Parts: sequence; structure tokens; C-alpha cells
Amino acid sequence: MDKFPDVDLTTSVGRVKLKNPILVAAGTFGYGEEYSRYIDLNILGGIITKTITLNPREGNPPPRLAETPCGLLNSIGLENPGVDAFISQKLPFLKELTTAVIVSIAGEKEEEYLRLAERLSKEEGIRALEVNVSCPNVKLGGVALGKDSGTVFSLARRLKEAIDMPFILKLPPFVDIVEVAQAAREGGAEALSLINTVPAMAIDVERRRPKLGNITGGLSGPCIKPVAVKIVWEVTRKVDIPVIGMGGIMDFEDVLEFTLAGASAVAVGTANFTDPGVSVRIIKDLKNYLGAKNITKFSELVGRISLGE
Amino acid sequence: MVQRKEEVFSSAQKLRVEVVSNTHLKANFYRLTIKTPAYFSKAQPGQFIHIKVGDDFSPLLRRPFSISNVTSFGVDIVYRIVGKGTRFLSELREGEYLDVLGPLGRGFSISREAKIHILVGGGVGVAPLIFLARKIKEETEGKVSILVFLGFKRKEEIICQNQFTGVNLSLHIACEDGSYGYRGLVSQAVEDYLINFTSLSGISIYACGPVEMLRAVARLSFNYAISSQVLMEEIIGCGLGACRGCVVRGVAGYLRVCKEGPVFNIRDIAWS
Repeated sequence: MDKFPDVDLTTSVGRVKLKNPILVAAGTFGYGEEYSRYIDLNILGGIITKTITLNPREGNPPPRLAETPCGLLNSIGLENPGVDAFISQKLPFLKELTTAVIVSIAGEKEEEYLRLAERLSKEEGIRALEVNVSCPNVKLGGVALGKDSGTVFSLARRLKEAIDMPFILKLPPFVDIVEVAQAAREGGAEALSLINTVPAMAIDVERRRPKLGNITGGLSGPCIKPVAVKIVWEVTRKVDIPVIGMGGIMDFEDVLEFTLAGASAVAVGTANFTDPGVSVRIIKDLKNYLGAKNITKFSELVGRISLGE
Repeated sequence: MVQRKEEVFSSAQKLRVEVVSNTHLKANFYRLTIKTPAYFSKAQPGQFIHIKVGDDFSPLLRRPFSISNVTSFGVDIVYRIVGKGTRFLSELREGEYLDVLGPLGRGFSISREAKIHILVGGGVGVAPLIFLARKIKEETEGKVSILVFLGFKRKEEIICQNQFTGVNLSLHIACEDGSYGYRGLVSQAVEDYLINFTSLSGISIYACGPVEMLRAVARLSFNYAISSQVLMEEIIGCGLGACRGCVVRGVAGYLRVCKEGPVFNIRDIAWS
């Protein structure tokens, strides 16, 4: 089956070594188990779990989804069972996987992030934490935290002091991204995840009402890919920190776009809804593409966009 | 019963299925039949299939369709053209292929105690009741009565009425504009019928249709203390229970249409 066994897809995001650069994005893949009858999860480079908070969260009122041209608007509102239930009910399954498990966390204030990080860093089977400071659908924490470089620096510094486990900050788009990214690096973040969904809105014209129960939401899907590519390019060019690129990845060519822009790895998100097997197909396609081009190491392509003549 | 459904759900796969037929029924209603693997014979009425409608990213999400029947030819769905996705479906020809997930979700649970099963459908929501009526007949060996109430806006939109037949089955049609059958809402037609009963014990209601209709059915079920199940609709994301995008408000918190539903007991839904 493997036409190009010599192609090396391994990559590193700081200290986090991955067997290939394809992860699945937080919030689009549950806790892995939901997809386990559709794909072999161990083929993936990694799984970023749905965001966990200290206490259970009920999430936002429905409707929580609205489709827009080549995009998906959501306002789930970080519905999750809380860290205790995650550890007792979801982690045992994830622990058995050979793929890298990255747990996404969010809090309403710094203390909550720290308590979550300390709690999870004691658990077996977690390779890294993704620190979500960019959810557009929560009143406290979320985007408000991630847009301020002082807050991001303080959070990263305190996390670095508290835990040995690598942590990746997931930042929102449309902030002074380079400054915030620099603050995250100086604070001690291992890497960045770029980008979270783009704050957005859709209106039902007949009913003259917002399409989402929470009025506004976060936009994902192919329509935001160029926005994400630009941010990845800009940040990796100016800040010396590894980046996991995400935003509208549907196929292996999208992966290469993020790679050339500077992402060391990528996460597939909304595409998992279109096709639960998409991430596995992308890995296969990527390998075949590199093999056909006689490129033996994926990691050599990272940031290799050509801007000159 | 519940265990059996888990079994059905766990057999769900992503499939490439062949179109057997795609029949124009009337107005903008169609019936699509797809060739499915043998395990679909265990599908329950009320379960759905999640179809990729299009070859690119537009529409981006799959579209859920209730199974309207499972026959030796495969699985039927009945749909109405409302947008780009359903237009794509309407253009499919025999021998072409579709990307399908399913069967998904929890279907209707057929009451063992009920002697009278009342099926209430509105618009394209009448479709899954075809499968349900058949299953009730099979599981009860014809020892119960089945009353089917179908509601439509107008005569021109009446679909599937010939699919409801049988010795112990009676069919009642309501049109909101009075152009055929009972004049008014189908939920009112059901209530008018119930008034004739001297005892309301041993009745079970199953409903599928617009949310206003389901709300009316729930209200009359509470008023007459009848046990009822409703098939709820929402925009569905993954269809696998992962994204939590398709929730409805339940009395004990949000419920996923794709996982805890799409069929719910009316007592579990927060109607207010």
C-alpha cells in the first residue's frame, strides 16, 4: 500500500515529536472515541481534544450551527463535562493510543488555567496541553484573554513555572498577533496554534433574527484558510516559535500551504464533519505527493515559501 | 430494546453507496433509494443517514435524512428540494454513487403496551412514519390499531399517502387550507379524534414534522396523559456526537439530536 516508504513525515513542534504533521483540531473531533469506528486513530499525527474546563459547562443555547458559503459558523460555547469527568471517562481511551494526545484547556481566569494544567500534567498519556485563549463564544476568558500581550505573557510565564509538560497557546485572529505571539514565546510557550475561529455572524432575513442562539459565533472552514495562512506566515517570520497551523484545511495541498508559510504541523478541523476519514486521506496523499516529488523529509518544507525572483 | 439500538448504531460506517432510483413524487418532493449493506435491515424507524451532498466544499456540511423505509432494494429517503444540497440530490441518476454515514441516532421505540398507535406527520416529516408503521405491524403481528394522521399545507403537497395501508391501519389527512380532508392543523385533527375516545389508556403517539407541530402534539399528549415520542430536527455537524452542534434544550440539559435523538420522549424535552 505504501508507495513511498522512505518519505519521512515526522515533525516536531518544540519538544513535541509527531509521527506526521496531521493533527485534528480541538472541538471538531470530540475526545477521539467518537471517530474511532470510522478511522484508525493511531494513523494520526495527533489528536487535540475538545476543550476541557475545570467545571462542567453546559454550552450556549441552540441553534449552535449555521452554514455559510464554504464556511461553518458555530457557537457551541465550550460544552464539556469538566476535568474530573474527562480524566475518569475520556482519558482512559485516549491513553491507549499511540498517537500524540494534546488536551485543550480553557478557563475564565488565569488561576483556572493553572489549576487545570497542574491537574492534567500529573496524568499519564498526555503529550502536551493546548491552552485555548481564543474561544469567541464565551463571556469570560476566551478571546478577551488572548488578545492582550501582557495577559498572555503572564499566563505563559506562570504555566511554565507550574508544569514541565509542553503547552501550546492557541491564539485568536485579528489581534496584534505578532506582539501577542512574542509575549507567548517570552513567557515560555512551547508553540502556538494559529488560528481559532474568526468572530462572525449570520442573520436569517425572513425571521430578522440572528441564525445562532448566541447571536455571534466563530467562523471556520475553507473560507478562513487565507486568513490563517497569512497569520501563520507573519508570526513564524517574525517570532522564533513553532506553529501548528489550522483554519479550513480540506486536503493535502492546504497542508502544504500552511507548511510553506511556516507551520511545523497542522490541524484539520471542520473537514472532519464533511468526511470523518479526511485526516487519514490527507496523510496518505501528502506522503504520495512528497514521494512523487522526491522530497524525503516533510520537515524540510517548513517555512520554505519563496518570496524572491 | 435500547440495547438493540446501540448494536445498530455501532455498526454504522462511512459508505459509498449506489443510487438504485431517484423518483420525482410531486411538486418538489423526491424519493431516493440507495443500495445499502445487509446490516441496514437492523435500522430502526427514526434513525437517519448523513449524506455528503456535493463534490466540493459547498455545501460544507453533510445533510441528515430520516430513513423512510428499508426494503430488499435498499434504503429510501424522501426529500424536498429546499436548497443547494437537496438540488444536488435531485440530480442524481441511477448507478451514481453517494457518500453516506449511517444509520445514526436513536429511533422510535415501539410501545409494547399500546393497543392504539397514533402516528402524526407533517410535510416531509411523514416519510419516516412509513417505516415506523411497517415496523409496528411486524412487531405486533397486526394485533394493534394504527392511526396515521398526515398534515400538509395544501392538497398539492400531499405525499406518501399510498404508503400507509393495512387492515388495522386508518389514514387521516389534514390540509391547512382545507383543500383536502380535515381543514386545519394535523395536531388539531388528532385532538378532535381523541375526543371520541371513552378511554385514553393504551395509546402511544409518534410524531415527526415541524417543531410547531411537535410542540402541539406534546401539549395534547400532556393534556391527555398519553406517552409520546417526537423526532426533532436541527442542523447537524459531525453526526457522530462529537461537535455538540445539534443540541436541543432538554429538561436536564442540552441533548444531541444526532446521538440522544433524533427521537425523544416528550418528557425529556424542555418545551417552554
